[in-house]
Amino acid sequence: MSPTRSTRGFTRWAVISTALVLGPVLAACGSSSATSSGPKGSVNVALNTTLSGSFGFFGLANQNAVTLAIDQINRSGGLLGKTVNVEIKDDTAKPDVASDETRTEILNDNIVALFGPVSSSVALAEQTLIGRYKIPFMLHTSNTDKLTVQDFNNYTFSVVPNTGMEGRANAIAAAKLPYTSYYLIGPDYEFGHSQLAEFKAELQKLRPDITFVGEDYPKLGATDFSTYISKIQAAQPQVIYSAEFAGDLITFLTQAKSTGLVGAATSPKLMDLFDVDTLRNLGANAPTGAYAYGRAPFFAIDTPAMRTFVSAFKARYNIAPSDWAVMAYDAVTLWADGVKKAGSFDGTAVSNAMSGMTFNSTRGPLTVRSIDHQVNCSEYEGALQADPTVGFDSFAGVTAIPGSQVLLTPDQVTAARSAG
Amino acid sequence: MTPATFLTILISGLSGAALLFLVGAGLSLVFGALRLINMAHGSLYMVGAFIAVVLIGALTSAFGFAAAIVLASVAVGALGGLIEVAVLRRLYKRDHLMQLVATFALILIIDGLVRVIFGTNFHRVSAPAALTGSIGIGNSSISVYQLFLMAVAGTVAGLLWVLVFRTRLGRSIRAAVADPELLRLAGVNVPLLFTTVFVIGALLAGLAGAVIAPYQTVSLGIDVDIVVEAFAVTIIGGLGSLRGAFLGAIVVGLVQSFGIYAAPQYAQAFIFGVMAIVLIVRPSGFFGQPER
Repeated sequence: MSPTRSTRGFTRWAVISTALVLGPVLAACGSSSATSSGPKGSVNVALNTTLSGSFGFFGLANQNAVTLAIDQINRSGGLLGKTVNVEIKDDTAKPDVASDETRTEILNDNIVALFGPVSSSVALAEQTLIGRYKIPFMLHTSNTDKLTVQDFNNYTFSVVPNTGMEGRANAIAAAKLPYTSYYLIGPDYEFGHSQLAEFKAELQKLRPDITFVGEDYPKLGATDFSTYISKIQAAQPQVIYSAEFAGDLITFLTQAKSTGLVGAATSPKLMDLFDVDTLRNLGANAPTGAYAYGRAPFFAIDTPAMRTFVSAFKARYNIAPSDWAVMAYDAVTLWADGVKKAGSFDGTAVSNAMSGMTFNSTRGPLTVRSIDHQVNCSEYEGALQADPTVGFDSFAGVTAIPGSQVLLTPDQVTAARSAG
Repeated sequence: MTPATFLTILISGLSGAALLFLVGAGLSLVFGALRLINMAHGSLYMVGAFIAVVLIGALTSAFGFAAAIVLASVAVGALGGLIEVAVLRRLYKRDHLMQLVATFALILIIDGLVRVIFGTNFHRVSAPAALTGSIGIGNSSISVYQLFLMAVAGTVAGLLWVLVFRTRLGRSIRAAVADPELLRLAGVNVPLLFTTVFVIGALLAGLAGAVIAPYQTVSLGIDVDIVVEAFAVTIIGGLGSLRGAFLGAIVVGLVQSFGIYAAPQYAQAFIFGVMAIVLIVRPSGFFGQPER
């Protein structure tokens, strides 16, 4: 078939269309809001998180955990005698959308805390606003170091291991393994690059004998890893260290397994970020035996608070909470404790109360460091094992690398801030 | 690069091309006959993938796998028919901007429906055991599924060639490409022909989504990723040309795979680099007809 009429004009349109789809136009897709000004004697908090697109599962976990936590607070009499309302909005992972939503919530709805960013670029955009209006900003998913180091302000709090902590914790775990050649692979954006860089730098320091035989950054949301898999096979590493996660990780595993790069007797060892959602999704297809690291896998943490939270979460949503749900829940606990300690919802008073505070999280007692408001939470490491009690693979031989071992020192924080 | 690595990267490129051809061929066919730039073509692909996840999961035998893929394709073809009759046929006489806006609206509507029905989480499904193995070549290996993708695309290419060049319907399609007014005067039921062509295009998109479902994560967002690449393929090959879609897919697939091998930091730019070069050197693509 070959057209004889002109196609050139159409080609032009097709090029324009392509550009159109690539552009931020999809930002227009839906944003839901559960706004209500609330009865007298209530306060509003906002959960602006990513509920649509391929990162929607983060937002769903955040939404479930935050609404559960707030409902529990309200059922036990509220905070300082007031009912807490949650306004939930889809930030569509777009900084401009998130900024508009946040500004409206601050100016029209008088929110007293902001939860929820998934994407670091969204978090950085919101951070400027919350600093200006003095609203406590609780980070439980997005985790670039910038938020607590270079761009830090007094109102920002992080209950998630940041990229630097995660990379360094994994290096400590990897240094104990007998392997000497590594191939690094991670998603091509801020998180992937900085986490891998921290891992590599720390591991080189701990184990100068280790060589890095390759390094690749497939695009975020990649659907075809086959060429990367060929490259890894050609490089013959002993370990594939990966920061691929969630959907991208599942695609990578599917394709790596189908070529024998993962799961065969001769395969290199895989070390990767496995969150509970991903393990649940993989089910019996999880690469049992792989080294896994995670931020808050409920099955690796045995505390009374975790047990209570898991059973409450299961009772309400019929599934076990993901890492994202655990950390979102902890973020609400920290803020609520801060409000109680301050005896006020005033942003500055609550932030000052939280700074330096130790609170009882689902992950055990955690302390908010004054210099950067980063909590000293652990990174959890273990080997994947089939686990019938959980219903999917969990970690065997869990090691928790505590935040105290991998946090930047106060001097390093100060130096990084003055540098840039 | 060892010969084994070269071969595995070649296969990577060709299996990527197989998927791009399946999507690009439908896009190009619809454009050629209907003069419609269907932005929502990727959404049909996504629907095919989601339906396949459910059906492959439910029908677990090897026969069930084949049946699931056929059913998913047919279901998407039917959805395509519905869309053509309900929405698109009102737009053929309107200008292209209107078509763009309408098919763009379809992207958003389908995205919303998929979210409501399947949720925001990502999904995965396994291929039958016969297709999950690998074939070792030196230190490297290729996966059987890559060969399966290439076989499906090759078969579809053959069938499409027969359809377009050896059947009555194909003659009408070619006539529609050449001169739709003349076709109307010749007494062909043009609305029915257009619906048929759109259904075939949708079916191909659904088939592409269904066959790729066991080889990657299925989630919201795969629609936009694929439609951008498919547009690039059809622009490179020449809009409206099946030969163009075939060659364009192979060029894009190979440039991607060897590009990732040689200069991974520019991986995301290759496809657009090729598109830019082709547009400069040959503005209508390999097999597109220049403006008269």
